[in-house]
Amino acid sequence: MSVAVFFTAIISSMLINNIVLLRFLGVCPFLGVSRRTESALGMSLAVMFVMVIASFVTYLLYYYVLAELGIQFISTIAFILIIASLVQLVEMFIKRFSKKLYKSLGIYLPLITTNCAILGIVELNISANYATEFGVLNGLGVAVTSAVGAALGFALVIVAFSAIRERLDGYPLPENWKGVPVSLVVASIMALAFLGLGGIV
Amino acid sequence: MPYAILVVVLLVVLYMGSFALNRRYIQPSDIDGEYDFKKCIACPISVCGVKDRLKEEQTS
Repeated sequence: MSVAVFFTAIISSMLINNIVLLRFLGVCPFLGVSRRTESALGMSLAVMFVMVIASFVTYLLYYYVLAELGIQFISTIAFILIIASLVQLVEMFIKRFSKKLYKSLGIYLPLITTNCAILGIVELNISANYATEFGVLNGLGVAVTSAVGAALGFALVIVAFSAIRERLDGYPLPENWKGVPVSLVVASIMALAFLGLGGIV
Repeated sequence: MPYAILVVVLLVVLYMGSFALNRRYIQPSDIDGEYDFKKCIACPISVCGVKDRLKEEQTS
């Protein structure tokens, strides 16, 4: 398997099929945690952390447990439970070993359990059927790479959006445009810009 | 079907175990009082509005 496959997976999930602007997953944190760049960075770091680990674990669970037992129909509930458990474990380890990281991520970690972007990427990794195309273990590599790309795409748009929102705070906008209305207009323009990247790969 | 029930039960136990383990570790003392975690976690709609408001209240 060539490096081009991984490169394509990263670029594709980061820019062409951006999780927030083109798949419309994880819109709640995108709108809610983007008021300050500092918060946006913390949230994107936490999402990246959980998204990559969750992709790894759920992929293995799906192919080595659920598919072996012929019970793929419980995959969604199994993935939800895995993500919730992972968030708890990750929070515990960060609390125990890195107080500094916990200080910056602590508030966001429990909230990731309800972030549909994580479940979305995990489900997309399975429905993309990487295992058939590349084999189960190589497919795992592509799935994790795709998750890294999606997380980077999430970070890119949320940080860019927060920077724009911070600048918009200083502009003399009409009262009824302030806050959510202008943010949604900005988000739609950003989505159009990302739509233009569709022909890259 | 019995396998499906067994796997779900195992995963629920895994979640409960990880939750209980996490509760055993109290948050580091140097960030005590910085955020009201209970309020933030309880918020079902806006992940972040509550957090931002709490931060603003504390800084003002």
